[in-house]
Amino acid sequence: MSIKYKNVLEMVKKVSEDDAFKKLAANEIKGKALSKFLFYLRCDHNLSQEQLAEKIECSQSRISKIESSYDKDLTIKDLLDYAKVLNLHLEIGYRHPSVRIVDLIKYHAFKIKAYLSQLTGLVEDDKELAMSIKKFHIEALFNIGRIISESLTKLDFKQKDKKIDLDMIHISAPLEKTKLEHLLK
Amino acid sequence: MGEWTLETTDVYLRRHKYYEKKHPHELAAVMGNLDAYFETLNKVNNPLQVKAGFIHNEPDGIKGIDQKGGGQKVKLQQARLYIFPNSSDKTLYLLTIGDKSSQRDDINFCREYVRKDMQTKEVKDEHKI
Repeated sequence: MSIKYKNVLEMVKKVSEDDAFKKLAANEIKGKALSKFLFYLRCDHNLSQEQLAEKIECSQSRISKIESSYDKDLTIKDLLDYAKVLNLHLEIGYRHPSVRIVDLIKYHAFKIKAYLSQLTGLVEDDKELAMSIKKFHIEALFNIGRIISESLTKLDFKQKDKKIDLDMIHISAPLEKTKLEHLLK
Repeated sequence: MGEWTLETTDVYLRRHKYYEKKHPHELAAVMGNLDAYFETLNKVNNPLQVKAGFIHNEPDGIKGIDQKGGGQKVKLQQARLYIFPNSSDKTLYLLTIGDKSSQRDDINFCREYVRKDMQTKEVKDEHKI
């Protein structure tokens, strides 16, 4: 055993010989991005299917069905039920397929600008809050700078450009305070 | 330490090729479930947190992943992929895949493999020290 694979699809593509099977497996994997994410959310909250079913007030078989459904068969109610009992807000968005990674980075940069503006707008005459927000700005400046710097060091100009597969469905992990703090440490 | 990776045994590779030809729908369904398990493992980082109806606990930390779930149009036969999540090297080993009739032999093979593999790794680790 020596070859290491980063994901199941990569392994299937390398190991399988039949192109029809590769396609079948790829459809099976790519067609369940949302249900996989719901499965992850439940596990991340350390809940069994039975426990989640109890919270949602439905049968365990419904949870099992949701988590193995193709994305096209999921309903908004399924998503909302998970959001409600896991104390999360549901955010849904569309993205044009021509959007590039750099556009996404720019989009999030503008988002950061808007949130910072909201944050500074909270201050008014509260000096203590102003100090906290100032401290946060400095931390954010350091962390964002570090993230960009780390990304720059990964650039190896000897490697050819790799094609990046942007999936049709983009799923953002829910931002939870503890995880955000952990990421910024 | 980085993300989890996948590794296959020679037995798994042989069985994969057999299933690919004889039971492609079963194998594809198992791959879908394996992907859900693997992706979640990478995010939660603790194999014990990943629980679902298609995951079966076997002896010595081995897990079985079956074909259940999904809305396949064809009726699937029972298939079970045996895996071993090794937290120490963050590797998910794909040991073998079989059906109900080969279950006992498959589990025996996996137990033997995991024991030998872990012993070899321990010896390697001692030499590193």
